[in-house]
Amino acid sequence: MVGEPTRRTLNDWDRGFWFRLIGIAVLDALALYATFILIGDGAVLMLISLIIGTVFINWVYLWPRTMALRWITPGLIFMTIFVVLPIFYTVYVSLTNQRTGNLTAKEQTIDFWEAKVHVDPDAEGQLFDLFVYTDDAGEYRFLLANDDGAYFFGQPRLRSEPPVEDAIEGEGTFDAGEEVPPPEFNGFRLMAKREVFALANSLDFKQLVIDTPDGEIVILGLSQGRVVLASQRYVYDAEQDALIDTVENRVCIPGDITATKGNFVCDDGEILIPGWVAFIGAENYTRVATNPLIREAFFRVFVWNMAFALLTVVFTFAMGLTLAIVLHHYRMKGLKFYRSVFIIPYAIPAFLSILVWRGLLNPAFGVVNATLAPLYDLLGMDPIRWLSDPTWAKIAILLVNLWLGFPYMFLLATGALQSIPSDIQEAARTDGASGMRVFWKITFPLLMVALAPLMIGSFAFNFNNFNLIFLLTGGGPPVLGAAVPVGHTDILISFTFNLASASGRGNNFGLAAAITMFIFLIVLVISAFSFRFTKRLEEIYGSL
Amino acid sequence: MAASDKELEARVDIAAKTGGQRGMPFAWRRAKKQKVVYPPQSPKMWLKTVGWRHLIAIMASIFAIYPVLYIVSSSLSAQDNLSGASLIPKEFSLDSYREFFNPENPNITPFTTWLRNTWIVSLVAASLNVALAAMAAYAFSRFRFKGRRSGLLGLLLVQIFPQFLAFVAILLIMIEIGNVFPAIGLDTLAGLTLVYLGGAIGFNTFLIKGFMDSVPESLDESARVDGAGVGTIYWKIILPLARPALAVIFIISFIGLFGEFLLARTLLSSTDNFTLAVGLQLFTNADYGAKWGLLSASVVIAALPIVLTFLVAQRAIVSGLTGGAVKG
Repeated sequence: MVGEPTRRTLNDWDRGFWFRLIGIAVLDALALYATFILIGDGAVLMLISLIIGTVFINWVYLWPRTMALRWITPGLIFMTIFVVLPIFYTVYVSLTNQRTGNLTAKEQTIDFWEAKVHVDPDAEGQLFDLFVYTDDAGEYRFLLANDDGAYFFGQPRLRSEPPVEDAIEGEGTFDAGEEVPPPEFNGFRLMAKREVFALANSLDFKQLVIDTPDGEIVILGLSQGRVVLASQRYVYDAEQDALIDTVENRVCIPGDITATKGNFVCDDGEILIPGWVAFIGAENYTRVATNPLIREAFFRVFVWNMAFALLTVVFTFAMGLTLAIVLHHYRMKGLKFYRSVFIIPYAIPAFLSILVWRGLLNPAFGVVNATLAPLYDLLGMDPIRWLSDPTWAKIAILLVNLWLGFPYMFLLATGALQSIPSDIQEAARTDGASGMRVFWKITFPLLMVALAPLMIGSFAFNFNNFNLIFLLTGGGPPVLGAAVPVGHTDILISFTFNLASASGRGNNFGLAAAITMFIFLIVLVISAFSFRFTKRLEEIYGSL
Repeated sequence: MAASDKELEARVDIAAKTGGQRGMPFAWRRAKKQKVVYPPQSPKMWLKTVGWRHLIAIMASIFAIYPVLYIVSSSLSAQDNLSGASLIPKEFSLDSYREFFNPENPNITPFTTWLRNTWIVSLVAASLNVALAAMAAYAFSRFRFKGRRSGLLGLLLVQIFPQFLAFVAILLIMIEIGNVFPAIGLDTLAGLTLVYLGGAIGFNTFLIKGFMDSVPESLDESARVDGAGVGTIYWKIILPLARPALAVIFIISFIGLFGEFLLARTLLSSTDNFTLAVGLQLFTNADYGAKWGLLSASVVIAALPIVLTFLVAQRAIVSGLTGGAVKG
């Protein structure tokens, strides 16, 4: 009886069909619009994905026999783009050298170097005085004039931006009697010195140039510019696959060892940065294993990560179970009150509590040290530097996570305790077993059967508990002298995050992705382990 | 087997009365308790049986509640810096709350903007997420089609990997998307919402499917005989019956996204686009000691709705969470 409906009234079918047709029409119109944008930008991969996706959706919603897919497709699309694709993309990135300076394709790298113009510093550049003009629309123009009255009027650009065509909008010589600079020029008005200084706060004048047909005007400061002839410095030779440096007469070829893959290396040893994204195989992985400095950092993080997750589960479970047992007595009153109080740390969004704890643990002003002050006096010791001492920072993390996590374990343990039939324990007592013996031999094993899968889940969650580490200590205090940025309380995911986004040292996406793959592997092992305890697989194969 | 109209009516009636919860994973029907009166004890016996239990419970209560009371009282104190904060405010004042809501103050960090961003992103992403997951769950629960088994297995495998682990790849993908469509790319709330939307669909589909499986299939069979199409069955029978479960899954997803930090931190870079987690993290990285009152007030304001929801729907949420969902 179960299956796709075989008979529908014509009416029902018709309505659904027209409804879908209109939806698909709108979607296709949007896709067409996006196609033009993608063609314009030359984003080939995204264009192909878009076309495949659109054809797929059209098929699903217009073909008569795709009933199930119509319900699955909306979710499937988002899951594919933002979960499945990133997993595979992570694998790809881990096999490349993507990092600061190696973020684009090789063609773009060549374009970048070929666009480099060379301005000879000793060239016979003529010095001009610089005047800044603006209009109501906030556009800027520069007027450069010399003592002979010759002038250029044009549109400046940042050196990092692409050249502007026809940037020079006026060129000539002022007459002897003319006021230099004129207060108005081509509809632009002269800016006062004060305004120019204000502008200089947000704009580095020394980065500006004005393109001329045969070179450029280099802006030297707020009041001067030099008109020079420029030349293209690097020329790409496709035959040799090399960049020829016309200024220093050297040849730069793609590097072939780990450190230089994806960059042009000149024959005098200089590496040209930026380079491109190059496929480097397993080298990110072998670096973790063979480079002693990275290996040391990695293992330090891994060991603490394991210890942190394990100890957290042990501590929270011990406290939660103890409380559950303490409250589990037929004469106990106020259970509802205790339960509500215990649940509060769990109810507050963790990131907020973690930030609060950071304040409470502040060594100088925090309430924890204020409370402990008499004890410090008694023992004659210095106040504990909770978040900046390597050992105490770890203890602080475990303490805060105990606070965050014990309510969950308490709830679990309470539920499990209540579900154990009391006659088993009573029978054991009747047979003469002591209370302790009944607990360890009967109650505890029964509890573990129910709770083990959830404890594995808790371990998996804490293994990647980025919020706690990053918000409380930021992974710090930093390990001094490490080859990669690493802190004493870093776990793998925060370590990876810092690798991918560390300011100062640049980001190393390739290495970060390789370590992510390692975390994937661990997560996989934990999951495989916990599947032994759960019945999810049976859900799939059992219900058919 | 077609059920008669009367039978069908009776079934719908039963399902409606029990809120569709009979025998379902999230059931939390309250059993009526009978009061049992135990014989009185001597004080010494009381200490031995329950006295020490209360002592331990009270100590644990203090541990649990102390930071909470402390932050509430800091937010109500006239004293604005961390060093002067105490459990009982020396001088009561609502200044911190006033400062939080003061849009005029140019020195203020845009807490209200961050809070609004967080609510919008979490609400939109969580509701769409549950809606899409419910649709997929319906197909997996009710249709028998080629690839159903492998589809479920695929979902199971995908949901093993937490989405945030792939943050490097997601960042690079969003950079690419942003190059072409800046409105949904890097550093936009729309882009973050899309990323979140994909996040837990696999997992939620599984949860909801389990729930829908427990809605008797005879209900839709009878409806089908009466001429209802798959759409009608979904909207008129399955969804109303699954509403309690969907609500719980929505709340859990919402709370999870409300506190999501890694992806938000990776994708958002301009102050006006921050979610609360990202904004507060950067705020506390700076000199927060002097603005402790303001920080406390924002924590209280941000946490209050969540805590109230949690306490009101305690049983449902807890059974959902212990059933396998993950709170952020």
